[in-house]
Amino acid sequence: MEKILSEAKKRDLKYEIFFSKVETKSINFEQSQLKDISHKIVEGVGVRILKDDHIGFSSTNQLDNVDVLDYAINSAKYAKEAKFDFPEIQGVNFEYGNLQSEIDFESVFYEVKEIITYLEGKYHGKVDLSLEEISRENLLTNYKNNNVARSRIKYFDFSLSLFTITEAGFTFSWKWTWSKSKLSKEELWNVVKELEKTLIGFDRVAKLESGKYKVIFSPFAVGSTLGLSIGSGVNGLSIARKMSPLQNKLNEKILHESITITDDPEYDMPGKCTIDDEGIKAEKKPIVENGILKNFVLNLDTSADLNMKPTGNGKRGGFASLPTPAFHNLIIKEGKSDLDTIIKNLDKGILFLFPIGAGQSNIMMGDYSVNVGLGYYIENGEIVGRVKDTMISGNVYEDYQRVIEISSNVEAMPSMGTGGFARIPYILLDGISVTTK
Amino acid sequence: MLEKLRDILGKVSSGYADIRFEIWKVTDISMVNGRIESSSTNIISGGSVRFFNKGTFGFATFTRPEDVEKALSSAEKMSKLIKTDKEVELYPDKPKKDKVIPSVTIHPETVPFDEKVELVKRYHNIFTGNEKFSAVSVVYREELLTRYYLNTEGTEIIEERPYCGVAATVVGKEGNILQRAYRSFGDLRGYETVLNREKDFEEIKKDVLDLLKADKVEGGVYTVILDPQIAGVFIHEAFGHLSEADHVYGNEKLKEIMTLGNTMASEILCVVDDGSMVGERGYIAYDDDGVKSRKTYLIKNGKLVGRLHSRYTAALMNEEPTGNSRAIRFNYMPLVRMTNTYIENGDKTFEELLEGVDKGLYVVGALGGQTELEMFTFSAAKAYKIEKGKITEPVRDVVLSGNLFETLKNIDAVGNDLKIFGGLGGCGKGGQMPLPVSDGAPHIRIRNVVIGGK
Repeated sequence: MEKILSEAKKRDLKYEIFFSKVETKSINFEQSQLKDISHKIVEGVGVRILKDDHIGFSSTNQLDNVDVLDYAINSAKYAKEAKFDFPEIQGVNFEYGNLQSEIDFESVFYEVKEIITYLEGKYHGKVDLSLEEISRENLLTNYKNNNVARSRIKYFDFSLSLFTITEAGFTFSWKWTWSKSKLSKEELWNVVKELEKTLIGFDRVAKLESGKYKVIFSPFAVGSTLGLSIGSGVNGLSIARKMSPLQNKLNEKILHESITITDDPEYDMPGKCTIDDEGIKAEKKPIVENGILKNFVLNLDTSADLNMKPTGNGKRGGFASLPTPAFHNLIIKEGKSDLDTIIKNLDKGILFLFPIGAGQSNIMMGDYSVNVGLGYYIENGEIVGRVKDTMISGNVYEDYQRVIEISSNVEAMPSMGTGGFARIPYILLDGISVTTK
Repeated sequence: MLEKLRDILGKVSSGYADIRFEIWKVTDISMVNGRIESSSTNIISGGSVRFFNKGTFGFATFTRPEDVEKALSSAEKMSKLIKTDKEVELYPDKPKKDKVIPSVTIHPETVPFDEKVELVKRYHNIFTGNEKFSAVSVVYREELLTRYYLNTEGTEIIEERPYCGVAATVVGKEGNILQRAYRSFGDLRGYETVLNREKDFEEIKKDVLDLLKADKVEGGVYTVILDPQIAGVFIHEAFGHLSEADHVYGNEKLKEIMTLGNTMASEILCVVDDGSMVGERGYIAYDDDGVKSRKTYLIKNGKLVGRLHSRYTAALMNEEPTGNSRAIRFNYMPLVRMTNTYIENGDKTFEELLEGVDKGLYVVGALGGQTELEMFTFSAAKAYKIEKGKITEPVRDVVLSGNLFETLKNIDAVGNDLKIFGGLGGCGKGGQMPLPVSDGAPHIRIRNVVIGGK
């Protein structure tokens, strides 16, 4: 990278150089058997140039290949005008997670073997799982000053899925967790407990009629409906491209007053940071506050297009991507009752855990239409059985006006179409359209 | 490069190892609402090493060619780190040496960058001047891949895959309604694929205007006629994924359901995966195990006759490898994946399919699909009501869903107008997306499909 940097300085360019290195160590089980142990490193450099007020970009993983500068300059010839300049970079050295902690494949192997034996014995299915240690290092610098912002993040994650076949058909369920240090035995077994909660009554099918129902959306189902639509609706790209229904809705009520959604780069999750991938300060801000739309999510380019202040949300999918607007940590505010109480108080409704086919409707408009991969019919506070051959559909901006209750239980998950990490509760909605055979 | 990799592999004294090294030159040009948003060329190269020890892979990546040796020893160490009771060898494959450079009339690399920018502008201009089109995006993408594959059995392959494609997406707006339509073309046939698409892109206009005046579909159970594109997505999602042996090999119950010879559908249905279709988006000469691509029947006259394998899953199930071990890039482990998947022609004309439908839907184009093996969904770009055998008004937000095993049996007519679709997207599995594939089918008719709606 030094070679590219010094060449850029020599040529008197308005440059920005972003280096990223992602190192992943993982152990992966397929069909309950150890499949592989992997060590991957992905690193490279992205160069952005402002030339004659146009934006040029190129990237390479050949860290000393200065040709990348010519490619970037050449691309500026055609590209859109830059209505912004690069900011002065704070020379920060940001660290998150336990950088010293390391995954121990051997001990992990025996711990997860126990988990697999337990799940196979109890549910007669097969287990896929993977444990990862993820280290990300970013360096950002531009022509404005010689400062380099360095960020190092490390976290560990565990994803566990169970696939089993019974009289009630195929069941597929999964859970995910993360930690700042290598996951303890207790943390691994907590994931097993959470997974088992999704399997209450998975082997019997309940009959129900098409109609309107009260539906408890799981954190994953909330992310796959509300998360996807809000994520794209407040994204500066959709706003600048006039594709968002939220275009002129700032300070208007768009959701039920119990819903508050925050983008929080200070929150203790791996989306934490002090500056974004363009060098702009990242700050906590409400996106939706008590149902009212408060902020969009913008990077340098989209904020300049919209004549608004950048919000510190310029993020990159890797060294080969231009910064686009994205959330750091998406937080949906929890409620007061726990999930068990919400279920107990439900006279008639559905607990909707895993949708199939999310994101394929007109999510921009808020539409969703998904199959119930795993969900339960509830009567008088009791689980009757699984809901099968059933579609749940509606519109986020209409349906999330009819919130009955939000749980105090929350779950962390990666992404959900918003770029960073998310922390989401269960949400009980009224009058949801359910279609079944 | 080949000699260097050969020398390093030559040092492996026992056990199986393979090396993939890839050089990617990726060009992206996109124009949104009248302005070029991106126009970049990116060069990525690197590789990975797999070491196989009694059923366990060790996998390590490297970026610089001088780090191959380090990666190899790291992969070997990882594969031997844990003693398991598995004793599996990879399914045998004959060593081979080959160099595959596809011949295309216009290689995308020979076309000047300026011309590609002009092409994008020209397609973008098709949509200017109508205020209902609130957002227009045209994208050109080119991926020139040179790959080296070597293994310790002596296989050495050099293969080039020159891909290019173009897509246009238009968002229409009327009042508070926003609707989107798109077309996408891309494959390995050369630059010709992206030329002369004016007529195809013109069709987007009609789609958007139709969608803007369409009503939301009413939820219910329908007879549907799928056009070739969405029928292709259907067979990919609903059956293709279940044919991937890595879903099947360890699960006794699923093996029973998927026993070769079982009846899956009525006699009129034949389903194929074929990686050897030169020029198609999912064409590969060799897969990432070094196995030659081939045509594999999955369903023949309604009976299950085959499934997709890597050398690893083939060994576990004692069936032949089919050339379906694929990774999206050098830094990913290969998985069992599809290539070009399609339903073969039947004997019905489109009119004959319509004749049998009193009340149904004609479903056209696909936005995507997802499966969890038994249940699947896929969503339509647009749809029309069918009333008494006649196509009538447009409806929108059509997402189809069903149980695979029931739905396959409910296919009661197959058309005779097979078409195969590539494009810019791809298939996702195990965190690897998008993998280049194509899907296709003739028009097909399915009874009793659940459609979500108001």
